[in-house]
Amino acid sequence: MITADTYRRAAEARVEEARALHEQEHYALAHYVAGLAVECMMYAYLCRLGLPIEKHHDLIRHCSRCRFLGFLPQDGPVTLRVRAAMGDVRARWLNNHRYRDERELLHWLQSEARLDENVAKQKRLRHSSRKIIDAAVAVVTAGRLAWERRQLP
Amino acid sequence: MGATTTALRVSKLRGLLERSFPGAEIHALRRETRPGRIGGVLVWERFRHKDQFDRQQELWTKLKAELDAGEMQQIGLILTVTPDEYRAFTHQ
Repeated sequence: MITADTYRRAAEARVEEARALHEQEHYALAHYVAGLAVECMMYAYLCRLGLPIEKHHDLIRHCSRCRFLGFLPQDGPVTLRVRAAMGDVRARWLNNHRYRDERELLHWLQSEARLDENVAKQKRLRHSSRKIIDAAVAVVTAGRLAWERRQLP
Repeated sequence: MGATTTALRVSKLRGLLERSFPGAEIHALRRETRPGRIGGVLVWERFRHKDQFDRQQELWTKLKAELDAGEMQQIGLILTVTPDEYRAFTHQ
């Protein structure tokens, strides 16, 4: 049975796997897995609140429904960082990245997301992979540290 | 874990982290599930001014230098935070 704790543990596993994929230069899959880690953490908080998981992959909507930011220390640098990190992940992730090879992901980053235009083309995938993993680790770290809070916001 | 892989003891990993990150606090270092990987929280002042990606790279580079591949496979997510970040969550 998939419980809130199952999703939370999956988030932690996925984000570490994304880092390992990046190290092995599997940048396209690293992108997908980093975003998946964040989605798992949002699902964990939705489950924890007893809310159903909607059938879409809009991370910001999931984040808002599960009141994720409300679980974090208020008005401090941690919350600001996590808010920015959620924006970074949203900008760089789509659920259908799992179907993209590196060529297609590079095309998407350039033509659709229009990200990292100041980064040399040959470094763009690596750069974007690093950015989304950094952001995903920030979100998963905050989610993990806030998990033990007894009081719901 | 394969039959020939040595189980990584939590105490060994803790000792390695203490040597590699002098002055760090280490919290909740454990295998949460069995089977499962060892995870925990590494709190270190010198993570300040480094982003999460660089903190994790530093952690894994240091672990890789000391552990074999079988032991590395038994490690999961170790959170890398500064004392201020850790306190923000534990003193609210």
